[in-house]
Amino acid sequence: MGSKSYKYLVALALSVLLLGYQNCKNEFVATKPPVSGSQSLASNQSDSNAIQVAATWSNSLEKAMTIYQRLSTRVALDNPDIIKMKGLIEQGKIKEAALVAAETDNFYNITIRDFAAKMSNRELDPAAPLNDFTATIIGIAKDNIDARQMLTADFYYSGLKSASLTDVDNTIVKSNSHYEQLDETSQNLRTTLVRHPKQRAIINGTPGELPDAAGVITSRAFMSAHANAGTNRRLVEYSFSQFLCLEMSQWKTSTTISYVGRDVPRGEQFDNSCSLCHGPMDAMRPAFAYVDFIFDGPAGTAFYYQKEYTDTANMLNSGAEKIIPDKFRRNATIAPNGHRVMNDNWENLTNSSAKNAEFFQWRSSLNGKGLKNFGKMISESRAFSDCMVKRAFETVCYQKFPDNKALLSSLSDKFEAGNKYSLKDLFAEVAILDDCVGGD
Amino acid sequence: MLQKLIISLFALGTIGCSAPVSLGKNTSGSGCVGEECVVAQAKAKATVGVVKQSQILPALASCLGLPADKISAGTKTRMKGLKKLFSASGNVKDVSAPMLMAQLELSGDICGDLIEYEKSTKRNFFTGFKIGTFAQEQVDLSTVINKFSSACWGRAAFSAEVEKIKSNWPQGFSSKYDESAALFICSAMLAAPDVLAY
Repeated sequence: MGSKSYKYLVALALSVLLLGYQNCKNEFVATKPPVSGSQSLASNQSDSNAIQVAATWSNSLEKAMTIYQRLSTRVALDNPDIIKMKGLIEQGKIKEAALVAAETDNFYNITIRDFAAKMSNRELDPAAPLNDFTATIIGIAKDNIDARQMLTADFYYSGLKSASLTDVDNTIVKSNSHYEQLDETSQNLRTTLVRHPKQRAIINGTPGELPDAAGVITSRAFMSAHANAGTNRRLVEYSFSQFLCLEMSQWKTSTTISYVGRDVPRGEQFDNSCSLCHGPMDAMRPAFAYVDFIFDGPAGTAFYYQKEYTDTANMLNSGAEKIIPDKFRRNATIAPNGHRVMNDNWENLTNSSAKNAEFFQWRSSLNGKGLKNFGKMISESRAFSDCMVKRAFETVCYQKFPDNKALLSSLSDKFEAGNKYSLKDLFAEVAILDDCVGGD
Repeated sequence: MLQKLIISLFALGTIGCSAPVSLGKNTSGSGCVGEECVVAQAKAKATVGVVKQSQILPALASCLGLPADKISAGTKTRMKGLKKLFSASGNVKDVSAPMLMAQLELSGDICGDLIEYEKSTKRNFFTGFKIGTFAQEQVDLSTVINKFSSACWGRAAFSAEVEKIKSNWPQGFSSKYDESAALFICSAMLAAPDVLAY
């Protein structure tokens, strides 16, 4: 047995010993540990000092540690930020204390990254590789930009400070390699990421500026996750589940079926079940009528906008339909009288039920043209604010948001106050909740 | 010899424990006294969480005061391999035996980085240890243990914990506080469950 293995085994044994010791203290509770208010006391060996440790145990220090750890990462008890936070907590300035933790690099590099990464992929995996979606939300948080721009802005964030457009197109538009490299080299994302105006995609076969940008909805990562194959309905479904925290089963409703596509079989099952989802979903699908995510030889695997499709499978695409992906015409003979998408005009029919009106609380136009309008509608709804609150809570508090409408409403009000929509403020508000870090 | 040591440590660690292991919000029940009671009461107020996979390496580096550029390529590679064994969400229900083994494995690597770092700067955690060109001086093991716990456990070690570790200091090391001893004490401290608990 090598000496390193020996040491590891001894260390393992010692850790088992410590675990066993903790088990003896009634029950081992894997929870945030209390903090001794006086470090020196802990080095006193006699058991009689246990009472002293108890007497000097500091609630404000423990709270500072917990908030800091949840928002950033673990640091030593004597870290200057912890001392500063402890002082602020003792003055009753608990939000200010949380903002100290929200000013650290790791708040952006770890916490906001986890928050964003989970929304960037189909598997909802916070450990997903860095990509343009995640980087842009980190950027919005660090630059304290109105979070609604997450779904409407015409910018993106990268670590390329002075790259040529060719570099951008090769490493961001046609692949995820730029972001993967940032990950590989363990870059400090807070300081490395910079904002670039004008999103890019493959426009009719050539890399260029995207004419209808909608924040992270038009990121390569979001398109890669949801515009890849399928029928582009997934883009609607996931826009709702990621940014409004509402699954289709929650918002399906009886409404007009005039927008339902030609690929959906009609009949009794359609009337009783399918139409409830397809009715409202297919009416919004045209927002994504010009987008696709495909592998196309030299152009790479990329987000395409208004690509001209050739009649590869007798899809009868001509005229206005030429720039609408084949996937909109697939299986068109199943219900030939169904809706034929000819442009990117869409309509939101979800308000046909009172329950949905209460869920979403839409505040902007329920019909529009293209992606930016669609992103604007989502980001300006109350459900968007509620969703950001819930996602922040889950990221920081490691649990589902409690069934507490008053608390949700209060946090969403604060998020929206003064039209600030600040993610940093939101996370600070959430991290100081008793439901998150424990009460006094 | 090694087997005996491990068996005796297991036995020592579990003797007299009748309560089941419980992961979650809990209270101490009645009859607790002194330090134990306060700990239980404090924990009862807290919300449970464990360090997430995205946090574990930055957390260890941060609590040890190890600059990001001093984390070796080997440690980063190890982390990549172990990442999935740590919790993605921070939910305490994700705690598992493989996670604890991964924590131990990672501890060995980052402790190696810490020793290299202190060799080239100054001794902080390993005050008095014979590392690099530093000669061995007087070592106060209690202080070393408390330094690690205050830094990386989020609390100071209890006196009984300090005593337990000291009384089980391997005979092979005796009073020879060299790099092996440094790696041993560091790995042991960073492999404790408190490092993962938030």
